[in-house]
Formats: sequence, C-alpha cells, structure tokens
Amino acid sequence: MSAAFSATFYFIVSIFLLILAPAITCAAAIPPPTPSQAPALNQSRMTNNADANQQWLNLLQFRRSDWNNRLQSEVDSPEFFLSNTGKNDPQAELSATIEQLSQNPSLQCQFPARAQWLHQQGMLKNLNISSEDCPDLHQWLDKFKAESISLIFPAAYLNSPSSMFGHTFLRVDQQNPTDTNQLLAQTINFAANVNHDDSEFIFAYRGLFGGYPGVITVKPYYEKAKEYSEIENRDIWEYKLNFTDEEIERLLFHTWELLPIYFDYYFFDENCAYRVLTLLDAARPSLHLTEQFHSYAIPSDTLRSLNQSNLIEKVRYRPSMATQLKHKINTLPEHFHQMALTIAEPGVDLDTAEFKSLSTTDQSAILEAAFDYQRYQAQQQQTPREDAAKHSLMLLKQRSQLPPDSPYPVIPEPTVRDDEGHKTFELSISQGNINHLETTRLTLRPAYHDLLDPSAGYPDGAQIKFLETAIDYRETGTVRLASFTGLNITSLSPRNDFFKPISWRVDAGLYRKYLADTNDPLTATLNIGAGHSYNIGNQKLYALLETQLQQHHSLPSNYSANLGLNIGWLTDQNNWQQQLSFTHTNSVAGYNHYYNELSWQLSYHLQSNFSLFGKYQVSNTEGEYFHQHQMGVEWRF
Amino acid sequence: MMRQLLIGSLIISASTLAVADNSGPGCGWGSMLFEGSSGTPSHVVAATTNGTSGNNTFGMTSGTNGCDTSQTLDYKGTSAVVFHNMDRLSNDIAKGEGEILDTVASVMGIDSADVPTFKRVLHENFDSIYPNSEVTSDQVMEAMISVMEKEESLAKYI
Repeated sequence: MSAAFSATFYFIVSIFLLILAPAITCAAAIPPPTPSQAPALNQSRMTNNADANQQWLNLLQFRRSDWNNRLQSEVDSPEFFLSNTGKNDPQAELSATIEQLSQNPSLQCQFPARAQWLHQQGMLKNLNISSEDCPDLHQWLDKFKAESISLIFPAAYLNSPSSMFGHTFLRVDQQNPTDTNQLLAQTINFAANVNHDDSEFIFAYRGLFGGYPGVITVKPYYEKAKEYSEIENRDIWEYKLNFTDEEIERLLFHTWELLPIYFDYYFFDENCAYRVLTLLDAARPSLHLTEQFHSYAIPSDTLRSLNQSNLIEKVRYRPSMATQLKHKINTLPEHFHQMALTIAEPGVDLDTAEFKSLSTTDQSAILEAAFDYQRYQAQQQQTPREDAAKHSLMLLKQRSQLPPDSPYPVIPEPTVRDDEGHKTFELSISQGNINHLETTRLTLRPAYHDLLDPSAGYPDGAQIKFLETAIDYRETGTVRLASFTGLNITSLSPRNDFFKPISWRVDAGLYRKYLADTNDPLTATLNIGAGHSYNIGNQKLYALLETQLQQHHSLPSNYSANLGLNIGWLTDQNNWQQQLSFTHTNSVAGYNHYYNELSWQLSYHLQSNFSLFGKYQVSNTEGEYFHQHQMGVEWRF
Repeated sequence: MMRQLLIGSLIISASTLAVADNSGPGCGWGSMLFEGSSGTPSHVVAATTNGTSGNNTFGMTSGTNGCDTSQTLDYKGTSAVVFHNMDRLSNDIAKGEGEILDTVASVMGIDSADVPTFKRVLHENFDSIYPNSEVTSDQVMEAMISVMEKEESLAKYI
C-alpha cells in the first residue's frame, strides 16, 4: 500500500506539474532583478501600536502566516524595507520609515504611499511628494491619465481547461473613457519572471511552488487584449471598479513602490490574482480582500469577493477572436457555410458567377467569416504561409470593395459570467449499495468543476477535478478510502466544419476496481485518452482512445498496462445533466485481464450550488459482474 | 513543456529580429497576421523580453520586436498602435468599422464629426494602404497619411 501510494503520489505530482505548467499565464520573461543591500539602520525607535493598523501592513504587503500566525511581508527584495528587520517587524519598519523619510525627504519619492499615509496619521511632518519634489514619479503618473480602475479577467479558453484557473490584472482607464480609447489605457500586471535555462520539471515546480520572482509590468491594454483575445482566444471580462480619485492615487503610489521589487511567485496562492487583491486592499483598506484567500486564490473566486464588496460598477464583455468566429458561423445561414470554407482556401478564385450573384450583404458576410476562419486556422497551425497571407489579403480586398459596415450583429454578452457560475469547493453525501454492501459515501472536492455540475459560466465540455477524495462507511462498520483523484482534466471540445479540436483526458489517482482474483484494491491509476467529440444541440457524443496504467501489489504481476476505448453521451439542460459512458479496456502488459464498465449518472440542480444526483454502474471482468448504485446531494461553496 | 514553448517563442522572436535587419518580409503584414499561435504568445514574450527591463516602467515602445524602428513616423503614438494591431486594422479598414479603427482615430486626435469621413476614406483606399501582403506597418502608416492628406477635412490632422 505504501509503495503504491508513494509511486502514485510521484506520478500524480509529475503529471500535475506538467499539465498545469502552461497554465502559468502570469509568466513573463524579464531579466531577473538583482537584489541590493538594504540601507543600514541608524536607530530603532518604537512608536504607538502600529502593527494594529491594517493599512500600514497593506503598504508593506504583510500577511499573517497560516502556519504559525506570524506576520511577515511577502516582498522578497531587501531594498523595499528601510529597517533591516522590516520584513518581519512592521513596528521597526515604521520607526525606520518615519525617521528616514523625515531626515531624507527625497526618499519620499520612492515611497509616496507610505509618506502620504504617515503624513495623514500625523507621524510625518512634511510631505514632499509634489511634482517639483518627485518629477520621475509624476511623469510616470501622468502617462496613466488615470480616471478609473478596471479589473480585467481573461476567461478560460477553448480546449484548455487549466486556463480555468485564469489570470487577472488591472487596467488604469483614462479620462473620459469611451470605447474608443480603452485599448490605449495602461495595465498593471503581476508576472512570474521565468528562467529559460531551467528544465521543464524545475520550471513547473518553481512555477507552482515558488522560486521564480514575481514582478510588476506596465503595458498598454492593446497589447494585453491582443495576447488574450487573439493569441490565446480567451474572452475577456472587464470590471470597472468604483474607486475614488484618492483611492486611485493611493493604488498608483503603491504600485510605484512595488515596481522595483520582486515577490516569490506561487501559482496557487501568491499568484497574479492574489497580488492584484493586495493592490485593491492598499487602495481601500476597508475591503480586506486578501484575508479571504488563505490557501489558494482562483481568479473567478476573487471576482466573487469583489462583487460581494460592492466594488464593481460596470461590466463589459470582450469576445475573443474564436468567439467572434463562432458567432459569425452561428449567424451565417447554413447554406453559405460551405462557400465560406471554400473561399477561405488559398488559391481559390473569388470571382465566380455563383458568388457574384449573391447580394452584397451576403458577400460581405461570407468574406468576413472566411477571413476570420483563415486567420484562426493559420494561428492554430502555427506556421506562417506565404500563399495563405496573399489569399487573406485578397479576401480583405474583396471585402473593401463592398459597402462598409459589417452585416453581423453585435455579439450578445453571455447571460452568466465566468464569476457567476457555481462555486468551486464541493461536498457531497450519498447512500447506496456497492457490490452488495450498503454504503454511505462522503466526497470532498476542493476544486473545480465536474462535467455534471451546472455548466453556466464554465467552458463547454471542460472538467477539472483536483484532490477529490471519497470516503465510504460500509454496513460492515468499516471506513475506507473509496477513491482519490489527484487530478482529472477532461476537455471534450466539439468538432464541426470549422473547428477540429482534439478532445482529451488525463486522470491520475487512486481508484478501486472490482477485479477477479483480488479484493477491490486501491490501485494507483493513470489514464490518458484522446479522441473526438461532437455537439448535437444540447447533446454531446464523444469517443476517446485510452491508455491506462494500474499498479497495486495485490494485482498479479503487480501492475497492468491497458488499452481501451471510452464512448459517452452527455446531455446538458438548464437544470439537469446526464452522462452515459461505456469503457472497454484490454491489458497489453502485466496482469492479463479485460474490463468493461457501463455507467449512468444524472444530476438535477435545485440551485447552481445545490444538486441531487443518482449514479448506476455495472462492471464486468473475466466473466464476473459487479454493481453499484448511489443517490445523494451535492453542495458547492 | 512551457520551457519549450518559451524557447520556441524566443527563436521566433530572434528570427524576426534577424530578418528585421534586412527589412525583409518578417515584419510585413503577412507575418504579423500569423504571429503567435494557440496558447503561445510568442510576440508577447518577445516584446516583454526586449521591451521591459530595469525599472519596469512603460512598455509602450513601438520597436519592441525589432520590426518597427522608425521614430520619425510616430504620430503621437499611432505607429505603435498600428504596429501592434496590423491584422485587426486591415480587417477594420476592409469593413470600414471596428475598434482598432476607432482607436487609431482617437490617437490621431480626430474629432468625432470627422471620424465617419476618416473611416470612409480609409475603406475606399484599402488597395493603396495594403498594396501587397509584405507591406510593413511603417508603409501602412505612410499610406494612411497620404490618403488623409488628399481629403480636405482630414488633412488638418497630419
């Protein structure tokens, strides 16, 4: 058991690292900063009860440890602290800051948010952060032309369930914001500063567990919007926040203080979404946003907390290039689909009589869909092709000869936003019969989304289950671990005439299987599958070829390597979903056996965070049959 | 695997830089059209590598990947917008509408009363702005300026 467990643990972690590595979307490549020596401290002077004041802690990026309840700053650059014990001692840092900012007023330009706060608290006599005192600071501030702050949330993208963990950053909107200059606004990002010389494993490990410094970058929104909506094909949600001018100034002052420094970067907790919250807390101390995220910060969850804090004034949706193409395909009458596909092919003559006989509106619609499709395809194939470029330009030229204004209507905003879907932590209790024993099952799933959870606000056909643990209490009075899913990522991306994605699944965990000649051992299992799926209305059909590795000491030859096929049918209605699935596997090495499993599951959602479910499963191996059925309830919170 | 993506991106950016020296097709419309790929923000990585260092201040540099180096054609920052949005701008001009076209009008300081003319004139002159798929962002910028110069209500913005 323990050998199996450690082996399983190793490969679960490895798979997990390798799969999630590309999802470290906060990654950037910037030369690592060189830490410099902290300034020497002349004397330490105690002041009144400063650590009680949350804003001082916010400005120093202090956080109370979950382990030992001690306060420590998350900033890892020594030059951020004016006391050499400042990282662990806010009191000492306060004394040192007051003293040094008073003695050396030009230092206030480096720490304008601290100086302003100390001045407001009556602890700093003279405030010297005007544009005469600090020209560099004000030159930087002027470039923002700041009027409001928006939080930008690129949503998950097609066929990449790990992008569900998402990314958030801030946009500093300019005066008189209209749709025409949003793209010119500057953004404030936290990014991991990766080292290209590291091996894949080190890269993934450091990205997730720390080791890469996180830094702030400031860039125009048109670059960031392009990165997400055109290159990664992610829809973007833009949340305008109701900060006052004073709060905006404080946020920018604090950002300025953080520009030269670095943080250790962790994918789950000290990630970009978390760091953005610390800036918002510094702008409005009464928010206490960071306190709500102790163990990990999923960006959509951080948005929920912004919503609860009544911080969101207005929401705007920016559809990605793929969404725009999908919208065009859905709008374009079906009998024009083939024509759009045909003229998107390089080398095809556009001057056909058939095409010219159409109305100019239809011609425009077909040309626009064909251009978007070709551009999308070229990006997917990753190779620039000269003939494709020439043909793309031909399509645009043709379009430019037709009357202006697109025949396509504006894309409607989805009714449920990515932060309005069901919550991500799930607890379920079920009762049923498992292989002739009455069993009560308790299941905990810390994250994130199951195919049978309400799909609104989540990408179609995507599933991520992380650390799902099921414990059984059986009528014999025994309690045992029924299953442990280290990580299950499933992506059932539908194929059609225009989109041809591969559907896939990776599942690593400890699962019980009813096998002949053994009890139902908790086998370490790794499952990798790939195939196709198709949507027909609300129905989804899929077929995946699977390879499977199972390991347990009680199995004949200790392990089994299997090949198989999984076919399934999913129905996704507003308040209920069902999944029928059949799997057949045959061993190719190790324990020689075959295995068939037929399962059916139904979920009925009373609310988005509360569901009833029923499940029936029959499996068959080497002539023996095993049955199980359960009914229960699920809460998500 | 991320490392490979990043290395791949760097190779792409390096090759872009290499061809930039010859002002070859690497910086043309066709290459910009196909830059990046699913999940690989190659251009962005390249831009970050070259554009952001030291104090991490504004990355708003028009020459971030070595293609666009001419500062004489800056036009209040319009070059950078055109450079970073080569494909979308051409798409917008072909249709005579769109967010990038609006943004370019905004950066050039065009009054809202003249914006419809601005869009119409560019739309009508698509062929002269985009004569071939190797056209660079500087050439697009120059062509836009010369088209605007010929239109009475737009000449004042040059």
